[in-house]
Parts: sequence; C-alpha cells; structure tokens
Amino acid sequence: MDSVEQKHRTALTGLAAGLSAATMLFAALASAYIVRRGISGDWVRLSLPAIFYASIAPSILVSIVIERRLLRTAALLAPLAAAMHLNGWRELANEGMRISTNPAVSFFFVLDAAFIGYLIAGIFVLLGAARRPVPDVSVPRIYWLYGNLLLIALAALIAI
Amino acid sequence: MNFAVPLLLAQCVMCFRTAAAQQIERARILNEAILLLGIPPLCILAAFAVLIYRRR
Repeated sequence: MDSVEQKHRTALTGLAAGLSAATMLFAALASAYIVRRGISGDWVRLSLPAIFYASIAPSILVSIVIERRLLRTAALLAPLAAAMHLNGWRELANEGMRISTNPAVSFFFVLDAAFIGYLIAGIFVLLGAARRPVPDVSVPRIYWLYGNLLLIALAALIAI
Repeated sequence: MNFAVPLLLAQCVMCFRTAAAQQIERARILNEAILLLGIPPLCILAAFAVLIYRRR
C-alpha cells in the first residue's frame, strides 16, 4: 500500500472517530432536551430568529464549493455561517433572551454553541485538507455534509 | 421470583421507581429520549464492526 493511500485511510478513520464523538454529544444534548421539554411545567417555546434558518444556506454553499475542489474558498465561506449564528445570539439577547431566561433558551445556547464548535473545527478540517500536496476532498466533504444534516436536525428539533 | 423483574429491565432501583411513577405521556417522552440516546452508539458500534470486518 502506498503512503498516500495509507494517509487517506488514517484520515478517514480519524474522521469516523470524530463524527462518532460529535454524534454522541448531540444525541446526549437532544435527548436531555426532549426530556426537559416533555417532563416539566415551566417550558416556554422558543421561536428562533430567521437568521438561524438562513445560516443553512452558507453551510450548504460550503459543501457545494468543496465539490468544486476549492477548499480555501470554502474555508473563507465557513466563518460566515458561524458569524450568522453569533448574530442570532445577539438578536436573542436584544429580545431579552439570555441563557438564564428559561430552560428552552438555555438548551438552545448550549446546543448552538456545540454546533458553532463543530463549524470552527470544520474550518480546520478544510485548511488541513487544502495544505496537502494532493488536496483531499473526501474528508471535508463528509464532514460538511454531516454538519449540514446536523444543522437541519437541530433546527427541526427546536422548531418542532 | 419478584426481584427478577427489575433485573430484566436492567435499571437501578431508583431509576426504575422514578420511571414507573411517571404518567403515560411522560413515560412516552422518556422512552423517546432513551431511544434517541441508544440508537447512535448502536449505529457507531455496527459501523465499526463492519469496518473491522472489512479491513481484517
């Protein structure tokens, strides 16, 4: 087996381990979210600012740019999605929604902070793949597709 | 044997009592959350089993 292929396999194994860890983190938070929402009398439904749903667009755009093998361009686009989330936080704060306001808001901030962490890690995934002598698209492609699904699932969890 | 039931359900006494004391609606929510927490590790385990089998 040549070295490039071996490195590629190592990267895919690392990706699988990383995505497994991310899956467990979000599953644990989502599970706690469902229990807290269902088994309490003090749950106030949170309606998200539109910018959170809009942030799905740049996130999907990153995936499209990765398909065109423009990894550095994708790494420039990725912070846009993170910035939209932080902007949404500010909008919520302006409406008086802070992490201690009610359990729904607390859970939202923790879930969204975890997702922003995932986005920032995704920028390093892109830069790392772009630095290789032969740019490797498969790892960032899977990472960002998974991130898009994660974002849609989170939006659905909070909207439903 | 009476103690065989909680053993079969694989829960500690405290969790078993708390879960058993819930109303039907709350029990349903608890079950949904348990499934949500249980499915990912099973999928991850299955995926790694497949990976190990294919690379053996």
